[in-house]
Amino acid sequence: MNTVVMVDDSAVQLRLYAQMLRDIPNLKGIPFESPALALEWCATNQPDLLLVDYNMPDINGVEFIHRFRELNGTATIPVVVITGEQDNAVRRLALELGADDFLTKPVDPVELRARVRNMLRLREHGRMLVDHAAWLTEEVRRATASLLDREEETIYRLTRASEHRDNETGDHIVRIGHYAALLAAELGLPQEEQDLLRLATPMHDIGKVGTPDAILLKNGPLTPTDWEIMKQHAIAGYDILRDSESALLQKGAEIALSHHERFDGGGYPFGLEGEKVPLSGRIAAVCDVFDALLSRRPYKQPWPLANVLAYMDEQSGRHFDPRVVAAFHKVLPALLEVRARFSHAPLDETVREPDGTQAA
Amino acid sequence: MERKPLDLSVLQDVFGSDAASITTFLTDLLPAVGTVEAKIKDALALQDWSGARRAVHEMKGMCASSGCSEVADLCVHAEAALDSGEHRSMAEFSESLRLACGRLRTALGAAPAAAA
Repeated sequence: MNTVVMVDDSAVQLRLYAQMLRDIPNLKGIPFESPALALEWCATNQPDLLLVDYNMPDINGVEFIHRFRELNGTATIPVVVITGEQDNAVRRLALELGADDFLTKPVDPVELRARVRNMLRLREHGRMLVDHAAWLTEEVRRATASLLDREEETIYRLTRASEHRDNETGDHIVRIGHYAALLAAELGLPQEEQDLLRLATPMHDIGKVGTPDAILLKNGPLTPTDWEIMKQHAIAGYDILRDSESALLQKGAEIALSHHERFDGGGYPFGLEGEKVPLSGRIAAVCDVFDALLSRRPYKQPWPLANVLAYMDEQSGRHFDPRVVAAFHKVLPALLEVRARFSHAPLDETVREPDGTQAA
Repeated sequence: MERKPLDLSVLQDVFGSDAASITTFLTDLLPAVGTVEAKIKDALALQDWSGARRAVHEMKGMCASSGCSEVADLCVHAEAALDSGEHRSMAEFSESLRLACGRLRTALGAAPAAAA
């Protein structure tokens, strides 16, 4: 059913318009003698066509159109101005404000019916275009989401492959992504950055694919030469990921390069200090060390949570950015939930105090 | 050329052969014309030219659309005169309007039979 709002201060005119339009199928005319009441109705209802008299007391047709077009969702609703005025300036102004057509009084019934039919057809086409645009937008959104999902999965599997050599489970990389996102949120970073960190932080050690097995899997302590080779994984990871157009890979490159820098400048590869270390790298450092200390490694047992927390505090301002450590403490319960959710190792093993009591 | 007080063909274009609807419409039109005529008369008596212009415009639209050609034509001229500040012609207009409205009332009274 098409709704046609008719606004004219003359009840006689409204009655004549209604009569003229009575034979148009699927049309419901709603007459208003008061422009103010018509605007009030249009604020909560959507007509398909507006017929408005130009010469009305209080609110004239031009002012009416202006106020009507300010209402939400009225941009594509056709407006026909009915006027006895031949004044071209009035007509131009009405057109500028959004009138689509004019009818001259006295209105010829045949002409009115033809214009109304045409305008309703225009409205229908406009509606179809809007629907089509909405459909296309949804399709693009779905396709983009699918591409992002695939990009995410590909990165996850490649990262997992690199970690696999290190006897690491896929859980570690998933966990530190979630840790990073939680810390980013606590630090007030925008949602987009939180998402990037969640996906990019797992790539921090991808450069280890270039580290020889003899060093990566060595059971004993590393020699100074071994260490120099081991340290190269930061630059190797950066080289693998850099120069991509993908924001995700760019962020991954930044994290790979900077996650072994220390807040006090004693890290590698460049010995950057304080906020010269990218925030993503400062966040990744906290996440990586926290998760590593709680986990079993071939060369160490998992640390009790209390010891881990004491270590994080001890390293605040040294290895870690104090601001990130403060955020870490605030979101600790959420971090432990993530650890429990993405952990094949029993949680008790990692968070039980040395005396056997459950850690906080 | 003298215009007819009421040209029924205008309403027949709108209502078609629905004589009953035309009759109802005309019955309602009669008091509406009287109301606007009184508005014009009062505004002119007070020399409220903008009020008179509004009422004359209203009468013009209502009568032109309803086939009340004589009154509509008078209003067209009166509106133009008011727009150009020719207020001296308003006394003559007032008298012409009174006479034309009288003829219209007579025509409206007889119209239902003619419409049928």
